[in-house]
Amino acid sequence: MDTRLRSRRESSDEPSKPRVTKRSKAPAASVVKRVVVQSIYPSKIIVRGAPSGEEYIWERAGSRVRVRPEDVAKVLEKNIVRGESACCGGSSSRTYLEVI
Amino acid sequence: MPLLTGIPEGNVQSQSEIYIEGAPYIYYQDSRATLLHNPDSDGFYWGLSGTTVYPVYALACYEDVSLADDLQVNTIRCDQVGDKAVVQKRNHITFNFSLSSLFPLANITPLIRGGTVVTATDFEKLPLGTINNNIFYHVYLPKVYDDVTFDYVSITIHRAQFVDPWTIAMVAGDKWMLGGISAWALASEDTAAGQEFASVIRWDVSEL
Repeated sequence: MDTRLRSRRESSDEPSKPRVTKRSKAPAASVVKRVVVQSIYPSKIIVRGAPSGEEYIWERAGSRVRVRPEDVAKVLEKNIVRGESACCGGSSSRTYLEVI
Repeated sequence: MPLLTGIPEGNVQSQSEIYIEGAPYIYYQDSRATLLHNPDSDGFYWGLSGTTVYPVYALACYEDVSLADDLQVNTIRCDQVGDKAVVQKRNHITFNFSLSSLFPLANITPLIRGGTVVTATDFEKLPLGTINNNIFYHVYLPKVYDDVTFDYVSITIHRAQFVDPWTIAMVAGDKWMLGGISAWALASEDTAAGQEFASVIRWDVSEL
């Protein structure tokens, strides 16, 4: 028996089943809103050891990287805030990264 | 004692008895950045304004600072009488100094023609490789000569390259010294005619 014919007859006799749309199981509002951090230091900067384990790299001064919120504090620790002057005048405070 | 006789007649321009002591502060910036006054209301190009992409580097501790002219001079000689005139052409202006403060490395890598510095946790890394001859710098040298009125004179070099081989002297009992730093003020066609090499600006409310 011709199976192809049979299958066509069968499909034409039976009502079409509604197609089930598969939905994602993840909740809709699960996108992490990252914080934009810009480098203002004339150097390539690499920050490792952030709480999330992610490594962040700023290629040059002016580069912007999106940082996880939980890592921002760790990243900004790179900025040096000191009141004492090390040598030859001037404080040794230095800002490497800033939140945009 | 002032001159009582033999004084020139007519318009005589006398000098101020102001003497400047010590080296100026040294700042430099990538020349792709726009100068602070570009130009000012009198048509002069001078001053620096740091940006995120092109910061102004400040140097902390240095010695043996000097600024010198470099000319090519040829005489116009007439054999019947001698030299009657001189043809001069400015090649460049040379700014020399020796630097004792070497950190952070990002501040000195242009001076020693180093590469891009990488700053990682607890580390700063500077590569020394082939030289990029396509990067030029503004150099700004302000000097306050009156600490009460804050009168100052500044020199802005518009287009400089750091040339000449450097030496780091590592002497027992003394600081490391990066010597042989020489910035050549080269001709810049981005400024007005007459300011190709540098501009000298003096601010003095009481005298001017």
